[in-house]
Amino acid sequence: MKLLSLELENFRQFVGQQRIDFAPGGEDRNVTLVYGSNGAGKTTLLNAFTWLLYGTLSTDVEQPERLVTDAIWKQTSLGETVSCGATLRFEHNGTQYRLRRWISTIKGNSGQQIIEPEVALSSAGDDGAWRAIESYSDTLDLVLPKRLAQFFFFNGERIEHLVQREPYEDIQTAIKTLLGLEQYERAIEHLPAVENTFVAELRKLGNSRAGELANQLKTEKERQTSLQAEQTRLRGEVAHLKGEAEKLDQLLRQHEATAQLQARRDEQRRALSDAELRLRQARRARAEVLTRKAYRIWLADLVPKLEGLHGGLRERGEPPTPLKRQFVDERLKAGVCICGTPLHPGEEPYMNVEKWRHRADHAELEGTWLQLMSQARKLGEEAGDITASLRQHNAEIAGASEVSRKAAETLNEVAAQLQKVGPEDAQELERRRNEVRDQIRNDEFRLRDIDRELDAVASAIKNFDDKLKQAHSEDAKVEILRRRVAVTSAATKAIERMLDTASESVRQRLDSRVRSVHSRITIKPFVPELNRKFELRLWRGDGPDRLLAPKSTGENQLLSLSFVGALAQLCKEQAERGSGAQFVGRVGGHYPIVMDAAFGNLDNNYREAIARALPGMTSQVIVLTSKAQADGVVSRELAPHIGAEYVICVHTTKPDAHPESISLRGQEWDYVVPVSDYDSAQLRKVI
Amino acid sequence: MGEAKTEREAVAEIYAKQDETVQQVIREVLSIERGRLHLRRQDKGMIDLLVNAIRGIVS
Repeated sequence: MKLLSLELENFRQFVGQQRIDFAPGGEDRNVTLVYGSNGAGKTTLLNAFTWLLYGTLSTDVEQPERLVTDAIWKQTSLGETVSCGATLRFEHNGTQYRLRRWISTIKGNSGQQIIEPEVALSSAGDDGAWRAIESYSDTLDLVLPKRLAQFFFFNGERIEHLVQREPYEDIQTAIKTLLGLEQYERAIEHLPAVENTFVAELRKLGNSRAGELANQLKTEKERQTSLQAEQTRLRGEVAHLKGEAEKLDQLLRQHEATAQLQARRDEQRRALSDAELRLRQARRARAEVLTRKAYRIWLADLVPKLEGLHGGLRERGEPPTPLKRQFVDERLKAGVCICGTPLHPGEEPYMNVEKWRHRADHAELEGTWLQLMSQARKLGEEAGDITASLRQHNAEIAGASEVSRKAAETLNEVAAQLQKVGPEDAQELERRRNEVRDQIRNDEFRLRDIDRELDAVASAIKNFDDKLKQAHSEDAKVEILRRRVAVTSAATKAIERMLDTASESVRQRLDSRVRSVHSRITIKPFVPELNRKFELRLWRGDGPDRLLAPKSTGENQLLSLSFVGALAQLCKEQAERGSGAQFVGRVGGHYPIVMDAAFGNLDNNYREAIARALPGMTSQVIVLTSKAQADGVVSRELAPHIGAEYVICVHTTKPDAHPESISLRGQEWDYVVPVSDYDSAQLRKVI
Repeated sequence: MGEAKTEREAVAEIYAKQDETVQQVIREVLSIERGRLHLRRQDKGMIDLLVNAIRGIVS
């Protein structure tokens, strides 16, 4: 999707006809920069895109019903028709589109109302003529699905929610959308209802083994669905509560009376977290030793036993040793056996004793004995090492447990003190914080239980499934229904596996791209990860000992932007793979990034990093920013990439406003014009 | 799964491992769901109206 131009007509504060021609994009000069003061209309511009494409405005748009410019509405007489709208021209996969959305209303007494807008989408044919597209929403959904658009049209300050809150469902959804897997999701949602219908019919046919099994299967599946719903709800709640707890901690840190105690708490919490990590690692290592090597401990007494055996045999003259051979030779030479029988060559007693001489001539056996002894000694020594290693792990576990216990104790003390010190508002913060932490703990316990219950349910379902497959019936009707239930269940399972496999594969691709984009733009040695739960996390280090990186707005924004950049790359790649990779339609392609408040209140180093990263994120970038936010490092980084520049000139009726201008390309451009007849905004192209 | 295998190929592999009857059900269900996707933006009343009309014609 390449944005060509946006026209606004009496849309919110943009009075009359206003137009932006976007920098065409591609390798060079792909950035369109729009400057506007606070309240000038940057957020309106961002919303104009989503209103045009999907008819929605973001929740932070005040009085969304007031789409017509206030001044125009006022100037319109009662009973007269007034209209407003927007037109977007864009290109997608080689076709040009013109999308217009507008409202037209007769002014009444009750002010502006929310009105269903009219929409017209046309595409340019090979002959250059515009042709209307009737099913505009289906077409737009294939160009850029709404559930994907939120990642490309966004407010920079809010995009960090990708890291902060519970966005994993949004990310998961984006992945499925990109693959065109919606019909798989719907099948998984609807198939259980079909299966239930068959089970109900089966039960109507009376008692049968198949009916009984199908019913048990249904019960277990319902339980699985309910547990999964609870799991999703609790995960969302935990993520939300963790965000709240962090905010409360931050407030307590800032509170003068509690800052010191909060600092102590932060320190103890780090100690607790380190100790828990050590504890987990030591337990894992101990389990590893016990699983893989512990059996050798039982072999420790093998050596003395073997030595005893060897010695005993030797004493009895039984082991095959040179001594025994010599002994037999002596007997043969003396011509008398130890039992007193005379031994004459050629006679039977002589031959019997001589057989013993041959048996004794087994040097290999003696060698094997020696090897066996040596192996046994080695095992015996290792058994000693295992005991030492287990002792060491036990000591580490004991040490870490002690540190963890002390840290937990100190944390409790600090919590108790925090409830008593400081003004009431600080105490209230502390009380709320404790409530939130308790709730998180309870939810996490329940989530662990749910995991276990889900494992048990999954194994019960498998068990009933297998039994149902075998429960053939003599009754033809029962048999047909039994087969239907079994087949529906197998189909659901297969579709679930298809969906999971495809999503997981895309997750891995996205994870590797997030890492690569982030490594290019980060200013700290942190490593991002899109984990198997579709959560975006930032780690310090990359090994098993890694720790979560400390959170900051700048880091969160960089990580979120890396995700957007990675998603843009994946969309492009997905379209290039074409029908070989997708299931339905042709979602994907080059998408632009339209970013409001790109630089927020970030420090200079982060503003610089973001400004450096943005042009390379995707083929076309539209940045909406204030003069102050884009000053200095930002304009220096963006300058070589700017293909079009606009200024939103605000006309305000505020009497105390000061005139402001902005200096661009050697000219002064009006930025704020006070003492105007009415409030409005105009777009000026910088040339 | 490596880069060489697309998601579509991975899914096709799972599909190929199913019994013929299960494959048939999967094909039909996905085809129905794909058809229904086009109706997702219509309100429920409109869908009921259409479904009843089609049922009427079929019966």
